[in-house]
Amino acid sequence: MSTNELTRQIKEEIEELSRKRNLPRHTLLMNSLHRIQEEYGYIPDFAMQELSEITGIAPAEVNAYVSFYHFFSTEPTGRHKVWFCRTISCHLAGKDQIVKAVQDRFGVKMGQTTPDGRFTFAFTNCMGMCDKGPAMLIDGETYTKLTPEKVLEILEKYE
Amino acid sequence: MSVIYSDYNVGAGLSKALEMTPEQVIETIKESGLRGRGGAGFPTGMKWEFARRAEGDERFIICNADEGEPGTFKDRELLRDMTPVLLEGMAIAAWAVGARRGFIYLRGEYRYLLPVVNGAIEEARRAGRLGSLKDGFEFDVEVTLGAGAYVCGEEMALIESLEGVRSGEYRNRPPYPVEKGFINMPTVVNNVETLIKAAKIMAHGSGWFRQYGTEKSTGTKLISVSGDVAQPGVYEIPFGMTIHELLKMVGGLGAKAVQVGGASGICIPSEEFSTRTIAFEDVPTGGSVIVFGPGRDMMEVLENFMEFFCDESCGYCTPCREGNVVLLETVRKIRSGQATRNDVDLALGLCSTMRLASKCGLGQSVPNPFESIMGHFGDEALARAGERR
Repeated sequence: MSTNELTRQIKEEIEELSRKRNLPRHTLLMNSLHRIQEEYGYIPDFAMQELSEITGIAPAEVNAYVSFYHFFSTEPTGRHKVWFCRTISCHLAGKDQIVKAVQDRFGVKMGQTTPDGRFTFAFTNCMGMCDKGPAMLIDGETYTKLTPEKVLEILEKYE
Repeated sequence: MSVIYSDYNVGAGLSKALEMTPEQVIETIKESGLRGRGGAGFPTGMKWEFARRAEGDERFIICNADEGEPGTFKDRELLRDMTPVLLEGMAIAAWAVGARRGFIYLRGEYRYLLPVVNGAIEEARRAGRLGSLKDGFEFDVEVTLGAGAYVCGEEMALIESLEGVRSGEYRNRPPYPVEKGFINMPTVVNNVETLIKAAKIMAHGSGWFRQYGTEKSTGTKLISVSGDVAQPGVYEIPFGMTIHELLKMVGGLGAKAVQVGGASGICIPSEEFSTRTIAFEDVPTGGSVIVFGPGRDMMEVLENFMEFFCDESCGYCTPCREGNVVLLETVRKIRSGQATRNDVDLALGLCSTMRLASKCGLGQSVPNPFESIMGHFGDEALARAGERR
């Protein structure tokens, strides 16, 4: 995205939600952020600035809100975001081997993006797949009962 | 034996409720003894009554579908299979308290369930189970997706998330959400399972529900079982079941310990399996049961829990923000053989402070796993460390 303002489409969608709901405008924040991240892949600074104007929330508070959530990013990320569950049941089921396989294959650590911009890998906390661990999320889709071989096979399918 | 998976015609509970006055609906839920299935166990009928009586221009029903407690995944199954009944439960709650609008706050990790939930909402509108439900009574529901924050499963943090407020910053209690919740209006926040059970209670009656469970914990509970067991998954059990019976059912006999209630719950060692029961008056749970086999290092488990809490503390109040870090350091010290009895005692003292002085349930419940795991397995770990020295 070369533009540094929100698209007309997004602004209209936010206004549409606002009209439909007729609630204080600060309640638009969460839904708007999801829409923006869907469009841009992350939450750019200009978007936070504009959301501040749209919602009446101070820019610093918009930023504080965004930074509070695992799934919002204020920096550009890889084309695919891959989250590995690090919480207890997935830990017991062997998440360390999964993560090691991925780090060895792609040469990056958790929290980093592959040099080709294909993947950003990160840990997240319990994703509710405790009976089927180890588990990961790729762009919102869940994959479970991973093995070191299986995780690499799955990742190969993402260009 | 089943409440959740009993035969049920979608719409039956709502039809019954709409034939009654809101007061009669509240009375029925009170008679059933239904308590919040998210884990805190607050009586549902009372919650609805408080919200009904509170002053406000508008009232809201919020379904807490932000199940983030480690080891809990029952709502995942419920949302997949039973959103129509959940929506009915929300409509019943709305009729009882006088709400026109509801939100489902769906955790970001369950984004893939969004089409299922939205599809069920559209279907309910078409079928007349949402929208105009009775002369002078309309109710509709929308979904807001969360974005990965454990503390948002705590009702006040959830409300702040919906409001566009960074969690933890502003609110003390009282007032409670039933008086001043979403945009300062009376708000009922109920767990997915609670609302589904409310619909079933309306259809089948409070006596039907009370035939299961104990005097103080009526009905059944969905339990999410994970860890070292042969058959992990979601089970429905009557309240009052012993840990031993539960382990037998899921293929987990021989376990060393069981963590009930997730990271914020308590650890039960094998000596207590036959005496301790799943019930609000004994071992309460939002549904998480994590089983540890004989070979597990319980300090490794505790370290994982403490890493979780350090990561998920919102950082607003000092006992939680700083306390979690100190507790994590203590566990790491034990694991590396550097800790003494004195370190453990200091950490336990800090637990009392956290329980007393943290503002929300997160900081207040961190002492549960720390004290119970340390109490049962701390000496053993310290002794091991001593041998190494």
